[in-house]
Amino acid sequence: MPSSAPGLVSLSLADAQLISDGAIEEAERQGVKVTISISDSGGRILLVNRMDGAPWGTVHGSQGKAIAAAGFNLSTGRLAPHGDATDVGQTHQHVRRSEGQHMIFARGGVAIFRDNVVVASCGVDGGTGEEDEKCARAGVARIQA
Amino acid sequence: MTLKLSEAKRIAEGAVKKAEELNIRISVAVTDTGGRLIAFNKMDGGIWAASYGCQGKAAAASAFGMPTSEIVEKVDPIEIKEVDIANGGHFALGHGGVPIYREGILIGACGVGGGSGGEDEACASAGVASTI
Repeated sequence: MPSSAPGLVSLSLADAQLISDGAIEEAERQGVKVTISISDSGGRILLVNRMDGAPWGTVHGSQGKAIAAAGFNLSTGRLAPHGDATDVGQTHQHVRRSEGQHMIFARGGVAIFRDNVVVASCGVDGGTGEEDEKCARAGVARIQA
Repeated sequence: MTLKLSEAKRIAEGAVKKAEELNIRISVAVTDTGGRLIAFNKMDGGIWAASYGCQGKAAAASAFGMPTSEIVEKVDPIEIKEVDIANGGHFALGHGGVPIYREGILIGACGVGGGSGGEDEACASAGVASTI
């Protein structure tokens, strides 16, 4: 599979579009207007789709969640919230600063695994955290069925 | 008069198709008139630097309503620089950004990065021509 950097496992553009289509269908079902961002495992964007009527801030929101999910190999709802003083919280915040402050630690970003290896991530923004995460998971399910 | 996601996706697909013909791997950004992303695609195997380049070209083309290749020829360099600074320094002025007009009104922009300037502009123009 072609990748965006040597040794970096990625997702094809065609699969990224399948995920986005699935996420948008779920957003339409829920009646929310969102942006979907799919990134490779390095957090670099592969695809962005902004639904008609979704505000442009959601472009940045969805990318921030996708980058965070790729950086930690987990869904962003599990990352320590801002101000968390525990060791884990401090580490998460340090990673976020080191990366350039693009990461968003809020629900709606999920890591995409293949054979237990993270190959990409999907970030959704525009609804509540719960709605966004549901869209992202519905999208990712399209390539994992 | 805004650009719909369905149209933006077709423009991106048209640009990718042209890139396949040219045997290059591009990133393509389609934005609204504010230079804000509607659709973005990076071809398999493309470099990530192009994802910033194509967005910067689309932003510049939407800002001035002309291709990036014309902006550098027609617009005062000081003006370009000042608008770029006000916008956060995201402009990219290499060839490959084109405005999208419908019935004479600006509705968005398409930026392509990853090939030579001429190739990028050909992909962006082909994408827009395939849809609008």
